[in-house]
Amino acid sequence: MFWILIYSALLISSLGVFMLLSKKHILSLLIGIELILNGINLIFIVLAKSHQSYLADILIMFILVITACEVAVGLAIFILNQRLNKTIDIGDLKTLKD
Amino acid sequence: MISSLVIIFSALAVLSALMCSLSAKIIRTTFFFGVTLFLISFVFISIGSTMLGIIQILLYTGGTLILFLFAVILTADWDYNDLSQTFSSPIKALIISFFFFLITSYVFTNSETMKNLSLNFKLDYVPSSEVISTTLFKEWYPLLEIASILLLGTIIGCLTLLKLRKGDS
Repeated sequence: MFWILIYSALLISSLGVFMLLSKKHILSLLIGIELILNGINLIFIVLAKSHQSYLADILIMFILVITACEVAVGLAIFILNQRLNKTIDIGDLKTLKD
Repeated sequence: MISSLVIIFSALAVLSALMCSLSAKIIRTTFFFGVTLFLISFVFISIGSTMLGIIQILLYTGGTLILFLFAVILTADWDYNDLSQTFSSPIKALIISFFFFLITSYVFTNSETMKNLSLNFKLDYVPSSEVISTTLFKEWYPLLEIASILLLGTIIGCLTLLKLRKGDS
């Protein structure tokens, strides 16, 4: 059970890394980051269960807050980029500073 | 019973994350991402972290999905039609993510600490919501304040970003 959960979390994180490196759509990159963080949360909670500790629950709540902030700012930048530069491609994001 | 539920939920979560990464249309990617988040919450609930699972479903999954759906709706005319347009360098990304999985699996499998932890893993340890809440508000309240300030800063930052127009400095 322990190893099944750990390998599932690692697979989810790896798929997040794949999305982060391969996709062109900015929303897909944000989703990739979310997948990585969710895999890490799963590893945290499994390790906390082995330690018979509930502190991982509290830590994950703060990780969720930080992730939600990251999504909100990322989506604001995405909408701004689409509005100003008429593009959704991550490669064109550098034109936002002009 | 609980063990088989955990295995089924984690397998489905991996499958939906795979579908999420292989979808061409952004609306399908968002849908499978939502399914993955729900399944991870079910895994949390199945292994005894009920409060965390419910918080993940109610606050995180709900809030994040609404944000993503609004972004998808606002940019509905701007999407890629097939997989060849969606990916920029898939082979390189596949190799890097495969090596990431191999290295982390190798480190985790061969670590003595992880081997000891795997022997102590028990599903019957279920912390009560009362204990978690008491600890959160008595011992970790500075972090709670930092989180609220961070959220306030995010709201102000997003509003400032979205007020920008072409030509603004």
